[in-house]
Amino acid sequence: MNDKRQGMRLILVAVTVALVWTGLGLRLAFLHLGDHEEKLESVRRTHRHQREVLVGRGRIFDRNEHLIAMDLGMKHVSVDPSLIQDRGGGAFIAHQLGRLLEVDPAMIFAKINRPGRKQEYVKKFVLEDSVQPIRAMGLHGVFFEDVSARHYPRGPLMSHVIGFSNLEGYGSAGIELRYDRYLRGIPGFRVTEVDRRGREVYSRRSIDIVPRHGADITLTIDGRIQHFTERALDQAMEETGALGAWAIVQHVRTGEILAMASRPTFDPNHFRTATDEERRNRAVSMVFEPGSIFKVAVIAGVLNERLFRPSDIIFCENGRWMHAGKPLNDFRPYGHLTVADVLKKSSNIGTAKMALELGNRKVYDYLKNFGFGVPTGIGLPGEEAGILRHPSSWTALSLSRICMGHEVMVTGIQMVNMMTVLGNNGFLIRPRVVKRVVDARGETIYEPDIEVLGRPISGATARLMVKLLTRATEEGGTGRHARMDNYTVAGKTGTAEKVIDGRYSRNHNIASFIGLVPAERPELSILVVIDEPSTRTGGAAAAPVFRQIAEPSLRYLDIQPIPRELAYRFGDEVPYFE
Amino acid sequence: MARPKRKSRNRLRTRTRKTVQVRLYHGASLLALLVAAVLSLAYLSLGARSEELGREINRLEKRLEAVRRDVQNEEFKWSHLTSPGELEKLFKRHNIVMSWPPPENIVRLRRGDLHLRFAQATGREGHE
Repeated sequence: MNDKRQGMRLILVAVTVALVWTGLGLRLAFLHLGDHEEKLESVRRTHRHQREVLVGRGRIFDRNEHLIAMDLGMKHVSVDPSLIQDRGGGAFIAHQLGRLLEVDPAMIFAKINRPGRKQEYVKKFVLEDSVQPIRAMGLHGVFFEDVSARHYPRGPLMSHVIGFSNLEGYGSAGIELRYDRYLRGIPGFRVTEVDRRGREVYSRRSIDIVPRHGADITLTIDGRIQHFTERALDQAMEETGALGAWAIVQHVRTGEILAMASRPTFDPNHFRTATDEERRNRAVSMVFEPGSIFKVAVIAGVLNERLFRPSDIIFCENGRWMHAGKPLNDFRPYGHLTVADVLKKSSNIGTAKMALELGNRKVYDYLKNFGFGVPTGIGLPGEEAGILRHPSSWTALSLSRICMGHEVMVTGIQMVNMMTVLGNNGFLIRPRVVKRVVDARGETIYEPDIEVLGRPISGATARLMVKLLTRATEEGGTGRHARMDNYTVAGKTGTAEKVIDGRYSRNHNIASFIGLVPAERPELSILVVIDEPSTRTGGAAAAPVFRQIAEPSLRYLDIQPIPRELAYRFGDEVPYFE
Repeated sequence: MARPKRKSRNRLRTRTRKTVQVRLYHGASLLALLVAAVLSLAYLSLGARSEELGREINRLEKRLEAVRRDVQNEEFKWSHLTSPGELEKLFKRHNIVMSWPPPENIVRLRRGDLHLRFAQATGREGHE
């Protein structure tokens, strides 16, 4: 009986196994012999994984290789409301996330309580350090998504030069925009297969194009000097209640920009909340009537033509001169002044008389040769050319107004570059903000060299102008507030009336100061412009800012003062200077 | 009588030849199977090894990415901490007033001086 039952069981097992194998065999035959291409493709699609391998943008450094802009790995923090609702503890999670992420817990709680939702973002672009404590708490239903975002570790420092890149990773302003093609890099491409758990099977990686990281850019800007400049501008803005201010520090011999600041400013980490006015780099994109600082260019032309000597006397009409039927006034009335004193006292009438001797065409040529009316090509987006009209469209009054910085529009970078000509023995060089571009392999792919654009004036005239301009910062000169204890400053003040409703307004001024330091062997060329300060003149508003920038910069650069006994010997070598 | 003897001898020879052929055939089959088995094992072993290496490469790629992120994070923090504005804030918080040394307090050494002082201090010749 037992044998019979055992036999039956064996038959049953054998039949079952046979059926299973037959079924599997049939299924196999069906899959292989039938129309299986579609199914095969479906399987391939499930496993195949193709994606772009993204690369970060290149980094931006200052001239001392301090990091200014970089891509930073960050996290999006999100919650799964359905999971939290199932397991409870929503209020606790909302409270903890709110505390650690500095987000209103009520808002998080409202997101957690949304029915039928699988994902709700709590906060995007969270720094890794802020995520660590949340991860350590092991909160259920809280997830982190890896993202990369542009970050500027030094905040608003040199924000107008660097600009910013948008959330899609495209440069949108400043260096980020101008050098986008270098910074962006080339993304890679990968076609591979994943297993059922979503892990990549390396041996099935069929296409793997390696990404090329973006190139790194080193600027000519010095973070320290930039800080001195920005600090001085902030103080000036606070003390004078100005609408805006900008300053540029240029290295004389190389044309490299060591600092460029503009106020109001913004933090590129929060560029979306900044206004257009805050984002605007006034140093290159704002044109303004320069006022008396422009006299430097005109008088340099006059002296270069040897029409006057510094000791020649000019009658300054006691402060009011009728020319071409219109009055021309000086800030203070002067009688007879030497050419040197015309510059020191900033006499409009004296300068106009000299310019008239030079004539329209020559003045225009000199101004063109100094680089006015065309962009300098500094390599920053949005650079304006300024306005320098052709003499054919000048009126009888134009020359007397242009020579004192009216009827002409310039940018800050044009002005500072003109001043650099004086320190460079008359050579005009192209200003630059980028020192080098180095690709991901460490090879330098772009390194601009000093580019001489011309020589508007002779070396002797340049040295003479520097000598004359040092008198403006002496006692009795308009720029005495720019004086420093150990260094000699060659500079010029400017106070230009702004045009309000089509008329020049006495109450709305642009105050400026432009100077070279140390005057004996110029190293730095500095421009300071303050828009509508309460202390209206360039001497009162901008000259002290110049000193606040120049003093620490010279100490920081270890530029030693010239001993008094050696200072100013070059008057002898300059012809016709007495 | 001699004929039947030759017949049986021929039959014996044929049988022996067949036996040898069968044995050779079996031997060759066995060898082929053995080679196939060895090759299969080698293939499987290489496959497993390459899979393992692939997993290792994947793991290292992820690790590299994580380390790169960590480095970025530290670079960011360092750059932020050493920014002039941040240092000034710290000085203010701890009531530290920094000022430039007056020029007369600065001692400037030339390379030659250092060389001389090193030689005096150690009795050995320094290298410039």
